[in-house]
Amino acid sequence: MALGIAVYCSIRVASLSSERSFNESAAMLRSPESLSLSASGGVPESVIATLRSIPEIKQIAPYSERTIEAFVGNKSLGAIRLIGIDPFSLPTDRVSTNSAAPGRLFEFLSKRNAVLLSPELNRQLGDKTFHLIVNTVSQEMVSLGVISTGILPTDYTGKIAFIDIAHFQELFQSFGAVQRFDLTPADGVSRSVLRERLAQVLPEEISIGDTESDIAGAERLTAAFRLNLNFLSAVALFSGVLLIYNTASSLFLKRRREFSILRSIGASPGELFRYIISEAAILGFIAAAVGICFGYFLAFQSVTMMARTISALYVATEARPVTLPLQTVLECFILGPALAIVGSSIPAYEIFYLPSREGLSYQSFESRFQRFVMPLAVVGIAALGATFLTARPELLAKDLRLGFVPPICLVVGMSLLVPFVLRAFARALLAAPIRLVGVESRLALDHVLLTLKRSSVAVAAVMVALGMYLGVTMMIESFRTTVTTWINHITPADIYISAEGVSRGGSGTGLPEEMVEFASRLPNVRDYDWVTSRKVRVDDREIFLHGIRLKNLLLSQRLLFRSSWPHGGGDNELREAASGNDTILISEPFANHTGFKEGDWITLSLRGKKEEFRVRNVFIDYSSDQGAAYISSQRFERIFGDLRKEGVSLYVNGDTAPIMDRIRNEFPTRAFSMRDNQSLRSEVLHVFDQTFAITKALKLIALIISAFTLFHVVFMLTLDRARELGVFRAIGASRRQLVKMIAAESVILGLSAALMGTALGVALEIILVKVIHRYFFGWTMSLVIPYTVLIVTFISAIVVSIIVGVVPAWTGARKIDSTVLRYE
Amino acid sequence: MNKLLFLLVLLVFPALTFASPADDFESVTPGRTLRFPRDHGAHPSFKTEWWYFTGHLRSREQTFGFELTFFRVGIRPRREGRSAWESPSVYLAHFAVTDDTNNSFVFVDRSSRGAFEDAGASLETLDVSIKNWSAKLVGEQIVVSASEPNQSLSLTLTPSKKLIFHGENGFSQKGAANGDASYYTSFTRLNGGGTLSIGARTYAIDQADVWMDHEFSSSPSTREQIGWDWFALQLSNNTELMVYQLRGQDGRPSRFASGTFVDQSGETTTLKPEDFTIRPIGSWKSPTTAILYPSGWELSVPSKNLSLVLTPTVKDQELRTESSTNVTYWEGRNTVTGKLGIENLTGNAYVELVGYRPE
Repeated sequence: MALGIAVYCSIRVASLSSERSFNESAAMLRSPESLSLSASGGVPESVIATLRSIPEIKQIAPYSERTIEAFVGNKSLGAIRLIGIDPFSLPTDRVSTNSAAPGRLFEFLSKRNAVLLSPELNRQLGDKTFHLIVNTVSQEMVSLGVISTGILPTDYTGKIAFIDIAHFQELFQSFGAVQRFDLTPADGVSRSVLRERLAQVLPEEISIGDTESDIAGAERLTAAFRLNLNFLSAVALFSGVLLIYNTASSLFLKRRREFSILRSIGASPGELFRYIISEAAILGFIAAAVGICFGYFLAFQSVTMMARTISALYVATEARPVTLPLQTVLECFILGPALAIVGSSIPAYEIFYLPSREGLSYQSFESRFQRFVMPLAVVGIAALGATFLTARPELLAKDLRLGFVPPICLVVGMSLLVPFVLRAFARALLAAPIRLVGVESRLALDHVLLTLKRSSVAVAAVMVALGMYLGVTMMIESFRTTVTTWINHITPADIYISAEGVSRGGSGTGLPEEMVEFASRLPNVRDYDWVTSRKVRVDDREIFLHGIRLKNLLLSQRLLFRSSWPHGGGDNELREAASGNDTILISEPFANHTGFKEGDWITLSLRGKKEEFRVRNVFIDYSSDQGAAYISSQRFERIFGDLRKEGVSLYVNGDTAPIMDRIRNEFPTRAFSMRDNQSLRSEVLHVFDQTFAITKALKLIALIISAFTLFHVVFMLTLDRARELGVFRAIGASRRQLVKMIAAESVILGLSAALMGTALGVALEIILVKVIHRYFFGWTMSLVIPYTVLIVTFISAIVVSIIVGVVPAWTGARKIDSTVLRYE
Repeated sequence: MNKLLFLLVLLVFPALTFASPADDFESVTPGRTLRFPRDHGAHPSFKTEWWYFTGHLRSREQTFGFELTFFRVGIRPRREGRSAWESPSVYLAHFAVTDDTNNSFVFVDRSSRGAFEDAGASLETLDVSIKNWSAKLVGEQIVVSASEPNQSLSLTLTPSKKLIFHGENGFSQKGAANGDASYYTSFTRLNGGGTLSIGARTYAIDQADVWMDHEFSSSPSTREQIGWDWFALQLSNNTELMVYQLRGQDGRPSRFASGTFVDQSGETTTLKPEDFTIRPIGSWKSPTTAILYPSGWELSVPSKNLSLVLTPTVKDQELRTESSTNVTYWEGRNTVTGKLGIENLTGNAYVELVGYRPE
């Protein structure tokens, strides 16, 4: 239970941390009452004239941002946010608290590379200078110190450098548009009034947002990801409830003498029930306390990992220092006792509200359960049917939370089927000839059938934990295998050149034209290609729009089209026809999210204008779950005014090393990354692994939980049998026979749990890969069953159950305990 | 006043002096012939420049004072980049109104980088603006206007005296070093009328007596002074007097003091430190900043037989300019009484007190 709470707690803390980071990013540099204008590809500066004519606007503040890698000497500081601002149009109340002397302001404006830093970046730099690589050229930045208080939250830990908006544009050679304008309403003008006014005069391509809508956007963006995590923590808690049920059943049975005495001296069943429930609540409370401590410890790891994953997949976010919100503590302290009460109330009810004879008799306690096996199985099958029915994208489209339904139905259905399966399994083995299974095994099977209720719960607990572990592991494996297949297909070139820092979270810097020229004209370079990109907004998503020489792209056959996945190939003629200026090739997530398909016309609002494209094909792409699209380079240049080449690929005859050396020698002072095919592929997979760091951590936790559950369940069952073992010893059974019997029972339980856990794991994987991820992320993934993982997990589960069962049995069966005999 | 404000800008923006090499900007040298209306306009090859209007307004029932100042501070002498946000100069402005009758004083300050015509100054004539505050030469008249939600001013003014060239044809030496000077001209008496709004009330201004300074320079700052006291008086006998004194690190008036007397015909007499005395006769402590300012003065110019007493019409005329120059100073309207020889004299004055510290 404590482990379950720990997982829940750490995920909540990490989620709240990323949420806070979104909030801070969204609220940064804006007053709460401000509105923001944004447009796909940037808001054209020409809109300023219109804005100036609106009396309801008090202040117009430009804002542009790039994530870019920073270096101190040769050492990378990682990606930082470089934000272009106009210090004159910050909200007045923030300027007034400016700790930088006004003289600083003029240095900020006059020195091209002058920056003000966030406290964290300033702390990391100390008195050292840093540089950025922009267009392969190192740009030394001049720090004027820490940005004034009031601009950032007091405990802000992100790495930000603020630069004047004019210098930002010069640095990136990006003119004519800014990322957004923040508008402060005039005194006495409400946001809604200003919003209405803006809607009347601005073109519809410019969207009007506010801090709240930006936060909501970021939350919407990551909703699927967070839902996945929440689901995993819910499974961890469910596993905890099953454990509690199992433990409570065992403990209550062991304490039946105590309860009998209490009953005989006048305690009513209600009083006893309340007594037990209070006890469970206290234990749940303790579990919550322990879980919170452990979860807090886990959160230190998960916060960084979650921030990294969210940054890689969605929006730049920083790991906030881990703080344990009171709300989470309260949630855990409510969840712990509540789930403990749920887990123990059923066994408590059975003991105290059934006739005393039944309640206190071990056999009757179990025999009553036999009647429920079939109905439970029927309900279980119904739940599995519900899984099948609810695992549909149409339902998920209605509400993201419905994504919870199929896995929960599956877990519940499988759990309810456990008694039936276990009984059938035990009966089948009993039917086998005695010389095959042996006397000890028969006794073990008898015992499993006699204690079917507790054994079922134990098997279910292990099954759920194992299923969760296997489901997550196999899902990651499927994804990784799919990405590997994809990356192998889309990277046919021999050498890849990109601006420094792009692969480590940086963006938006380009390669110089002369480098592209030089590289493409080298002997043995038979062909080359390049790409230029912009993030643009389509509906509520930000997609990557790439400009590329379409004909080359299509003829090189390096895109995998949905229609031919996973084999590639296709009609060259069609490909050639598709290289026109109106062509757009869209990625699968883009197609899935927007509903566009081959042949449709798409209208994109780019830089304040409407641009029409025809969808020629849908390609498989795992680089962004938000979407990507390719258009021709000529069209791209016409829209955005420049063709900043961000990546160049070279097709080479023969050895790549001499060509790479020549390029390096020609541009010794330029900073750029150049990789051959092999190292690019391994780097992509490295980034993938980093991206899924949080999921991997959860996989580890799932493994711990499943091992712990297995250990706990078998250990409890063995301890329960101390008296029984005493009786066996008294009537002449040898110690070896007893150990054999226990080992057999452990194998039976372990085997059942492993078999059903594997089935559950595979089913969970199918749901995750084929339904949930396909809908949430829009990705088609190949389903991979990693047999090695399955076999290792399967064998490990059985071995662990034998060890955990046999060791206490060996010790317990050493001598005959007279007290046990007297009791029986 | 001009020298003082000049120093104000340089002291307020110390980095300005050092941000760009001095030779980036043009030096002030003697012998330049100022031509008008061209030289009423901006001079971006010089580092600092301002257009300064203070005045005394009379409606049918009430009297007011106002200050409207535009500063241009050069970031670099010429445009260098492609970004439309780049502005070689930034603009700052202060606008204050004193209401004698209601004993009130309100002020607003602004700053802008001048991009996208948010602020700017013509290179051809007097036409300076920051958002909807402006001063323009239209024909022979100067139109001054500033509008804020709670106060606005619009005046049309005509010079009643010719333009004053300070120093040698406008070349005004400010210190011992070469280039420690400015080009400096003034209209000491602009008359006209217009409207003034305070809150919901609008007043027709029947009589406006306004003083305008225009000065530009690239001179580096001096760090020997902590502040200054500046006085500009328009007297009832149609003469004007401007005097200032700089205060050293000890808070006492230093040897840097000067003045100009303008007679009825517009002829000027330069006053040396020994030609005048300034004696505070009261004090006022700001409840907001706890700065103790002198309040009320006796001012005498023996060579001109002038013996005058200045009294602030409102005690609290302190400006705290967090949105622009980030300087706290006192600048306010005063009434003047006194004698020219044995003849009684009255008048109006604007006084500026800079560099006083909280107690």
